Amino acid sequence: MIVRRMFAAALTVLIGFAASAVPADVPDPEADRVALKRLLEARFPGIPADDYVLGAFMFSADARRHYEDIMSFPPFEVDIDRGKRLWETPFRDGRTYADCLPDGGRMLAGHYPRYDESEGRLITFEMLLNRCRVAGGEPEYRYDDMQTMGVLTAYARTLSDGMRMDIRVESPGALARYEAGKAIFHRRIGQMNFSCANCHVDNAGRVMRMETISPVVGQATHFPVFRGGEALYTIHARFTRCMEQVRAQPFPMGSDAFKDLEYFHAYLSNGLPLKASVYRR
Amino acid sequence: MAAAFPGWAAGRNREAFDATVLDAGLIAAGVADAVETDQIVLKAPDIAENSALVHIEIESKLADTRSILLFAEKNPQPFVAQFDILPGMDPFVAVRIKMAESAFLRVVVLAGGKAYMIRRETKVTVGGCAG
Amino acid sequence: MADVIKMRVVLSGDVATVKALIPHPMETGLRKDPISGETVPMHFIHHVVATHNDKPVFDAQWSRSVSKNPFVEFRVRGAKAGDRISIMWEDNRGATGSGETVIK
Repeated sequence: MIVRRMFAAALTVLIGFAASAVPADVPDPEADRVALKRLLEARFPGIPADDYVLGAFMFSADARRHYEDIMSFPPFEVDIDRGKRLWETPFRDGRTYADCLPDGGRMLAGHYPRYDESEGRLITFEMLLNRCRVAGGEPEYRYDDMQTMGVLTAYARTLSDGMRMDIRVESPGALARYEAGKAIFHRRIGQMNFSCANCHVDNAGRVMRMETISPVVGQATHFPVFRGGEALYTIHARFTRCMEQVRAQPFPMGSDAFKDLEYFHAYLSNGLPLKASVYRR
Repeated sequence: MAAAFPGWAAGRNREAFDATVLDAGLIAAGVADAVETDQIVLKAPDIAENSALVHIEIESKLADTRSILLFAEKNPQPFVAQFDILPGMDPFVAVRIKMAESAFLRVVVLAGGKAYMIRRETKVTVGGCAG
Repeated sequence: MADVIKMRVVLSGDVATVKALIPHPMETGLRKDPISGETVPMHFIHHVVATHNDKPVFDAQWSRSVSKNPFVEFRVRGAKAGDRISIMWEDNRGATGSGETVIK
């Protein structure tokens, strides 16, 4: 372990940019999050922590201005309205999502994914919505269907706008899922042999394939996204696209692997404010 | 619509809109001789990484502004929009457009019987990681 | 079109700043449907008129280069609470739509 740390330090000096964090002896999500935050803040001095929710736009005043112009009245409000109609449609038993969820579904999404001790597994926000459906006598929505689950969450997540991400890892079971997600994040995959970390930690802020790469910190706060103002992507849909882009076979949306990854990924954005259904390129 | 709106002349400027080359469009619209001016403010991003949604704001400071015309010089049909400004409306408009590739945006304003213009480049990159 | 025109008006003194979003696919005729592989035919709004208390304030012609779910922002003078702002459009297939809002 000590040799590994020395090697990593030497590597840092030689290569000139920080390699991904060396795993600690005891898994410590908060230590991971803080170390990563410090690494990125050292690389991008002067950018306030809350700006990380803007992703790649945080690096360019021109891009940020354009983002704000679009967000002043986004074209996908039409799609969010469709999601609102789904949200308000009663289930077979006459109840609604608002009846089913605490506080009408407000200020909730920032707690998800959540590890459920009694079930021994992760629950995502989308799974929560599907549970309401089933309890109400309706079939589940598919996690890969942007026209149902996608637009529903495009509205439902906005009910949590402004809340700070608050993902908890508070038991051995939860920690196991966190570590599984972290391993996926650091694993090199696909024909291009990239890991999530290679792009979104090591090369965050750099331009690759003509786009500025966003750092992982802040990403989980702003899903689903509307790329180009019209193409809706939930977080699992975006994970899928990333895996395809490194020429890897993507995990299925809603799978345990993506849930584990989502859990780790969301934890890294703890403390940052949520804003769902935003514009991206 | 034409019946509901008697002043409306559908098909007006059809030739200019159909032009596939900038110069032909400018000539058909009658604005090929527009004089460059700094009295038109054209706000657009320097770089548009997704070309399907480029937010543009145009303001004319020229007296007696009657029309605002917008061209994206390298679009398959460069003439994008024309706004005829009627009394009571400020000579300002914002729209969002598609740009085929990096190009100059050109705004022509018809004011006081003359044509004025400004040009500004917006680079379009289609990123490899765009969803 | 099932979706209505979304409009927001902010009144400052006697100037009403109007922002509108018109649900419309604005197909250029150059796009291929990802599932069928067929080229999606051209379908776009080519005429737009806005009125203030039924008096036209602008008359616009648009091409297929205007973005999907088109946005337009404009300012009207001599406006006051209770005035009506409306927008009417026609597309290349002859379909029409309109929306109206009352300034608060």
